[in-house]
Amino acid sequence: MMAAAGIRLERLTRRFAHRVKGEVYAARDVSLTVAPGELVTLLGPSGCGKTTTLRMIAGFERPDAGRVLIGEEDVTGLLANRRNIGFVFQNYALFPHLTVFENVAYGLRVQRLAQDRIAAAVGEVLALVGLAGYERQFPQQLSGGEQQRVALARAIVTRPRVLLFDEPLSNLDAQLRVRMRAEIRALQQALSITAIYVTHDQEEAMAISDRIAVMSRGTIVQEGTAEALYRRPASEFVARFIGRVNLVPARVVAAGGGHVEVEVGDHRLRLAGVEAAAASGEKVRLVVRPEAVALAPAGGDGLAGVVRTRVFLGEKVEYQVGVGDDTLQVTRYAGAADAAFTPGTVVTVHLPTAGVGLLPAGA
Amino acid sequence: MLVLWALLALFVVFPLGALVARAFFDGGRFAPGALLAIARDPNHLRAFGNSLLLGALVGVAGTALGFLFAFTAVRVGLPRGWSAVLDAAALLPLVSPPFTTAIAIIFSFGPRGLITWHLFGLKGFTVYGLGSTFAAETLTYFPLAYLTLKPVLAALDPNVEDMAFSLGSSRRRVFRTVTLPLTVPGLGNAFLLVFAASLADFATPLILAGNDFPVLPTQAYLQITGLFDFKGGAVLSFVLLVPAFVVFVLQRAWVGRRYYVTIGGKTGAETAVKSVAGWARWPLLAGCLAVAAVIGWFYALLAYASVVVALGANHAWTWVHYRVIFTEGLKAIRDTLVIAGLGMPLGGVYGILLGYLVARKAFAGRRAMEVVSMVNYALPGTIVGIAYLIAFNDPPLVLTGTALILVACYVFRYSPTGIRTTVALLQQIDPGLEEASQSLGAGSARTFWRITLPLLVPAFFAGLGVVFIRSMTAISATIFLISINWTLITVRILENMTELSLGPAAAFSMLVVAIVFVVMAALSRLLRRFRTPGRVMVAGLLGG
Amino acid sequence: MPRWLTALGAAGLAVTALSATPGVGAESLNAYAIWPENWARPMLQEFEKATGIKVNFVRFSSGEALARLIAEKNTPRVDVLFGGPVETFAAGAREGIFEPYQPPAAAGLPARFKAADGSWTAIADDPLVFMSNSRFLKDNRLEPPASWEDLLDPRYKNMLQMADARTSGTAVTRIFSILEVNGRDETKAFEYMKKKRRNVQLYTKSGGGGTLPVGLGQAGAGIFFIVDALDTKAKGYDVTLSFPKEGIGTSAEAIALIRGAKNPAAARKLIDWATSPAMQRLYATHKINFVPAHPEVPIEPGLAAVLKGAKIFPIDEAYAGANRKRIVERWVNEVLNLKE
Repeated sequence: MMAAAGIRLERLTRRFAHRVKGEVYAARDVSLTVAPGELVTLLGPSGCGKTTTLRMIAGFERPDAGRVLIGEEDVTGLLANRRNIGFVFQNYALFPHLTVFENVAYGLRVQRLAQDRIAAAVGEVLALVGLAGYERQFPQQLSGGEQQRVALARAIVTRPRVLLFDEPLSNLDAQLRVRMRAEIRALQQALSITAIYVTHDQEEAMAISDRIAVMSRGTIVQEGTAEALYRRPASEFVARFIGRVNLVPARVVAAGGGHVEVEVGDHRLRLAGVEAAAASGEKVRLVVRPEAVALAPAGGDGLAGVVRTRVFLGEKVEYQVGVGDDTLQVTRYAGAADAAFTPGTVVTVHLPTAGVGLLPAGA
Repeated sequence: MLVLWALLALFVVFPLGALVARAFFDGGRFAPGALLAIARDPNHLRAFGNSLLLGALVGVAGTALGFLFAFTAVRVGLPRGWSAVLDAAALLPLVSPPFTTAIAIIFSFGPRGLITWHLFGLKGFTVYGLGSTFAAETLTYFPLAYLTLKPVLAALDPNVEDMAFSLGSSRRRVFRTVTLPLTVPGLGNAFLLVFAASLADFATPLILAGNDFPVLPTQAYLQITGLFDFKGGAVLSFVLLVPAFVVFVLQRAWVGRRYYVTIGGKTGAETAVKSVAGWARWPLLAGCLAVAAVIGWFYALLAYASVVVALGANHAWTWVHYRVIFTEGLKAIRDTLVIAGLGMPLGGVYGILLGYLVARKAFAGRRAMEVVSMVNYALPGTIVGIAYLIAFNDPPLVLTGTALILVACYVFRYSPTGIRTTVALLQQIDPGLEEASQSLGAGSARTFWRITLPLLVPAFFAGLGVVFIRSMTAISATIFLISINWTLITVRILENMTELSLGPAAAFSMLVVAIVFVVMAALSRLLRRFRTPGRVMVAGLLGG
Repeated sequence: MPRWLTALGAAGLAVTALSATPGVGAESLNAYAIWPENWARPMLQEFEKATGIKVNFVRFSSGEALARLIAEKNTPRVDVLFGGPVETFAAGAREGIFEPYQPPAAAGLPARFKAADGSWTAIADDPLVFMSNSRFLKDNRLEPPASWEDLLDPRYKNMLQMADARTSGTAVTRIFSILEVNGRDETKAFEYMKKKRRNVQLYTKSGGGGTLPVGLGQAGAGIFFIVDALDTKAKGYDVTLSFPKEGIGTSAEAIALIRGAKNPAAARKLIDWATSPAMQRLYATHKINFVPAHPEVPIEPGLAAVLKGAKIFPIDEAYAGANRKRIVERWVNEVLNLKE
């Protein structure tokens, strides 16, 4: 097996000529470092440039500027067939005229391996993806999940330095998607292959990645672990894209010593562990995740609110609570004491004082 | 539906039956002697062999050329202007009367040809024979292959090639192990189309084949018009039926086989790093442009011949040939336009009705109806023409001499394009649409008129366009069917050729090309106005 | 029905209605013409001018016209077959497609210009001639061929074009000419034709098919009816006409009434007119280089000059008729498909 190699992208840029908009950037100054054996996800809405970036890494598209390095090798000028990369397409791109065996063996045949070694390698990898015995089938005869596994087997059988995934699960149904992403993650870790994974599904991204790079309009807007992105989004875009969020308008009253005191409406909060710099008098928005908001019967210290809707989801309950002119999303565990308010109930809303992010008012 | 069956029986089954009867029955008795006599005649056997040889050669070369064009158009990433040049070069031979290439070849490559003699000073160069017939037919029919292969290549999922590429394959290996195998059904289909077209062509060999290379359709034509031998002609054309039928069956098998297109989901963006290396673009483009240049040269020559007094003798500028065709030839022009104009809507309606029935309704004999509707299309035109002549000349149904026989011949011979387009479109249209309409309370008639039919507009126009173009350019069947009342431009062109009036022949040809182009342009504009998915598929011009 | 569909249908119908109404009322008749359009049209227009009878016609080659007439035997579509070699008419007579009719002028015609039973009557005579490309002759230092033997010269190799006997009356007249100059000795005649075959580039489907190639120099020389040869010359092509000293055949052009004709009276008027000097005097006016069949019509001086000194003989219709099929078949097998 080839030792896992890291990937480094340096200011990758790709422009397109658009009929109406003129020159558009599909990717603009994209820089990213992936450590050997790490799985990094490019996450973003469709059209954000994540697939273009991935295709530039694979060599399917040429960057207009910037470099791609695999290990210490600059591969920017190399053709796709010289990069030793495994690629898994959204539509699997299986060779429809070849059997499962021949599909998987394709890359090995290109390397002119002996027949017995090919047979052994293909058998091994098909067993790995749970498709032993499918050798003679044709792709059309397989289910979507099976096709996906063939594509996976085909991509890893050559022991590539790097594995690239382009929304590999989006054609599968929800349950299968969850199972497959676990399998892909397990496989990637077992083989400790460096991987870049493209998806628009934040839950999938969080489930599968070591780190996530969020892309928007051709650039990486923030990167970090799933948790860091969730707790400390650097922009409204990231905050809204990853998980559900309440952005609560507030005004900084005092700041210093790791504490920030803010005013929400006429209510004062003292927030701990805030990293963002904030000046007194500045207008900000608090990043408040729905599960961090607690409700209590009316009265006592806190914001006054009215339960508008309540949706029971089994393990949890989702509320929409009106506070002033705004609506807060609130999620509580079904067994919790504050999970049983009915719509119309007047409640007291408790905002969290720790783990709250701050965004400037305009961002 | 009964009406459709009656029409099919009358205009497809009955003439073919009459032909068979004429070939095998003598005074009411079964007499296969004539067929045996043909089978024993070494000249006819040779002609039969030649036909197959020519068809195979033209099929292979035409498919190869079509593939070159399609591959270049789809994969090389040409600027728009260049693709337009390729399309135009491929379209010209399709919309021209069948012998234009043949004439141009004689003028260019004959013993005193403009190229062979005037340019290269070659003496005694023989233009007649297999070589030039092969070249003329290849140039005339390769567009069929081009139009068949272009969508096939375009529909290939680029991801599949990218994948092979990414697995370490060289470009050549990707082409050999992925691109080519995936195109095989398309290639097979293209070969059969070109083969069938060559098999049915009698005009090109009539002018170019010379003495040493007789082919069957020309022999059948000569048997009737030269030796006044109806029975012999019927028998000869019956012999042609055999390979035509084989092609028909094979083609259905190919088309029936699933094309390898993308299985689902979004297909990849078009690859920026093409499957063609940068340096390889130029030879590909150069090859196509060379062919386009040859075609362009032929038409320039034709255009030139139409405006000089006598090509080769007197190159004084003149409009006299156009004056001739718009005075003496006016009747032919008018008749042709009337017949094409009549056939057009009828062919369009017939095509979508039959296609709709075959694709959406379950009834006994559905397959049979589909096959019968394809018969006249699959048969060489000479056979259809002779069959119509034999069938409709005597009571109970005397149609010879009317416009109806010409219109019927065109509609039933060239509508299968419309039928096939309709079927293909309906396969793409979710039956759920029609069910939605019915669930909203519309009856099935209303559903058809309001939902299905508007969706079929592209098929309607494709069918109608083909019938029009064929009505303007076809000759093999209708040369037997024209009459004192109704004559056709193509027949006049052939006539002019034999009367040594090259000028009017060239002028007529230019006129036909111009009319067809105008009508095609009008049709696609009209279609764009309907804003329905799909376009007038030029691929719909398939067929001999 | 959607409006656009209705509109299309209506448009189609309107077009038919407009065009399907030929002039009704005036006396008219229908004909198949074998003469090329540019000769048939002026003659038939002259007829209309002279009689007020309109002739609708369509032009076919002799083979096509005959095939069609045979096919239409039970329900004839035309009244007259106009022009074309006697050959074709003799074949038609054997098929019984003609109604015998002897026009007044027939009485004054020599026997070879009319069928004994009156099924056809000649309207013109058309001798064969050798036609060569002048430049070709000069380039190869050849004199215009003056003997049948001259065409065997190897310098003509692959440069002769002439008609195919399966489809062309010109070819049949040519073959019978060769038989005549060889004293009807078939062995000798076929030996000659086989030798000549080596020089033949192409046997054309129609009699005049080779004239344009010869005119253009695509071919060096050929054997054609004089009417086609002179027409080529008139178009401006530099060609030379010559006659073989052994003699060459001529074939009459004829007209006939179709059995079952729908307009027999008008048809007879056309036949009367065409066989009479009334039409044949017009050949010269319209530069049609046929030799008039009617003895009273003088040969146009230019044509007469060409024909001066030429040895021309008629093809014996009885002999030709009796042997035609056999000779043509032999020609196809031994000459056309000659294996070397």
